Amino acid sequence: MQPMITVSNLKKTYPGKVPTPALRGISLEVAKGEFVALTGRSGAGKSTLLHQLGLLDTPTEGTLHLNGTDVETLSDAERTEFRLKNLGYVFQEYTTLIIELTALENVYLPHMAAGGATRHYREEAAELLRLVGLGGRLDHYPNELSGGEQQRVAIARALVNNPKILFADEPTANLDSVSAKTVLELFAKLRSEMGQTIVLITHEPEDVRPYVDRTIWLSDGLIEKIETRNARS
Amino acid sequence: MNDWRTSLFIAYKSVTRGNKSMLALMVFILSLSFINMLFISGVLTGLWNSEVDLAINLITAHVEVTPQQKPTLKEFIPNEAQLQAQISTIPGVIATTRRYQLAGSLSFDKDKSGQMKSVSGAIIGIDPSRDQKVFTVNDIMLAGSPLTDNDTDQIVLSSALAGGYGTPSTNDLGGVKVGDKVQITYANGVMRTYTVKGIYNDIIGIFETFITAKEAESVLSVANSASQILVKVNTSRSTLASYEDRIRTLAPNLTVKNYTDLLGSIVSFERALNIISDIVSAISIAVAAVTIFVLIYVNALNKRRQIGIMKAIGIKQRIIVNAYIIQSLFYTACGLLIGGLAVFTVLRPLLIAHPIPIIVGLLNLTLAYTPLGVGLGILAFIVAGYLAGRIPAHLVAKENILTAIWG
Ligand SMILES: Nc1ncnc2c1ncn2[C@@H]1O[C@H](COP(=O)(O)OP(=O)(O)OP(=O)(O)O)[C@@H](O)[C@H]1O
Ligand SMILES: [Mg+2]
Repeated sequence: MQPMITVSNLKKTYPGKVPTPALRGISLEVAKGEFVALTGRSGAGKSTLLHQLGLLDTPTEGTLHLNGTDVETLSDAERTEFRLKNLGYVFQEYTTLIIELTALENVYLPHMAAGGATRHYREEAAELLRLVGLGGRLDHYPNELSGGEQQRVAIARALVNNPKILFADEPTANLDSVSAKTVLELFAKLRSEMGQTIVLITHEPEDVRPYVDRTIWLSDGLIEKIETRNARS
Repeated sequence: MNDWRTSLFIAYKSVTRGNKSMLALMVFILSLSFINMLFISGVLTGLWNSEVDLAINLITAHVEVTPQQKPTLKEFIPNEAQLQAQISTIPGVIATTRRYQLAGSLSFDKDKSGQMKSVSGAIIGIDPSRDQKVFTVNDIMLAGSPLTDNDTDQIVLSSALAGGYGTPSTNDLGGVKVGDKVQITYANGVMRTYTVKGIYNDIIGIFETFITAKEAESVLSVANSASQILVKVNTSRSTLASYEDRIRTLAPNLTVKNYTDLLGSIVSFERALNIISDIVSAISIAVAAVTIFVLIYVNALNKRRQIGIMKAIGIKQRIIVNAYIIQSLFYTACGLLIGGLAVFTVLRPLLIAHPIPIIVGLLNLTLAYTPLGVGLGILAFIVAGYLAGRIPAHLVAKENILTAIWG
């Protein structure tokens, strides 16, 4: 079966006075429906890799196929469209909500932009917010929400268009263990029920181990080791 | 369609949730710019209109009929009473009058010393009761009173000719007062002495002396004639040209002209005013455009992060840019509305109710507009608003997403 994500010799060097080689040659395949955790020390290049996979940045070198599409062939507008239709992204920073929109509106904006029917997207967004435990915060603006609540709104937003791939950069970093568990269980459920492919960054590989198929360790811009569930069990 | 709905939604939330004082400031500045533009062009147009009205009311009337030129040049219009009666039947004609044009020199012995000062000038014979229905000279009397139909031994002088009003000049009689005796030697040699009955404010320097038509006929030894027939019409009822045509069919041999033909000398003034008005309007539009541009640009730069996030979650660049154009056009529309209301429902009625005189009794500060001028101003503002919304949003929206979000 065709992999959902195919990365080959991906490199990213941040330009600047002292160029920073953040990714130094990553090759990786993620199957459809696979739940993968990325981990590693701070500065290892995890967020940088996820930015490239999520089409938020362009790699310096290497190729990337998502769902069979060579993303290098896409124009800027096509990449935007691709993100809207196929990808969900949860940033490491929780301050990525649109400040002028309520929690509900933040969640349904991508759905609206994708052409959803009004009644439909409001209900869908409300349902997603209930799933992340924010059923009582629908009409709150971002500045009226805690960091963890904002992070969970961002998770709901990433899921609203039923993305083929969900990228989540430390989605549970600002959450208590109970909320974190809720989110991880939601991801696992989405994966098993909808066959969603999930790539998640975590600093706590132990905590996500029960949910994921593979854990990939990054170090200094390279893959250090990969641990698969089968090898574990 | 859906893209527009999304743009509208973003624009709506951005305006309603955005910084209210920023919104108020933006609309305030836009209104001021629009008021500024309307005010200056309105004053200039008003000035021109008043200037023309002044000339019509004091010198030219709307339509002037003069004697036959071809095949032979005639000195007078014959049967003037009959012609005036015919012209008066044309619908829209308000009043007609005839005038005799004479030339001569006026002499005045100010100190009763036998030393006469003489000045030559135009002497006009009028039918006072008819004339005042066409011209407003009676409204600008400085001293004494206007002529009446049988005042054969009295004259009314212009202040410029009388002297003693404003700056003295070699072309004045050195200070004639009401009641003084002035001698006129007409071009045909007739010499008569008159009592000055009144002096009018000769603001536009026409240096004319009025006698009655009755007296003019006695000087010229003619009757039932005229050098000019002057017609005042209702210009909103028909065009000037159509009045002229009707008059020409009544008097095919005579020469018929309208005031625009006669105002040749101040047409250059109009051109100058128009150029000034165009330049000033262009400057105020440019200032307004730059203002809108800077305000909205700064606003969009403040929203860089928001724009980056929207792009990251897959909102099309076009939707984002359109959202900014909508916002910008909204501010522009508010500015136009408030500015327009301020000028047309406050400033202009106020100036009409409480005129500010430029020349007392003659020329007031008025705001006059042509639909075309106002339309062009509005269009220019809308174009500026569109560009001011579009360009900065476009620049930000095509930035790298991560740079837009994290700087
Ligand atoms: N915009 C940038 N410009 C220059 N260097 C950058 C930029 N972003 C990241 N880096 C550098 O690239 C390297 C990898 O950064 P990255 O954010 O991917 O780390 P990370 O693994 O996500 O770390 P953390 O766990 O702290 O989030 C770091 O050395 C970082 O300093
Ligand atoms: Mg990171």
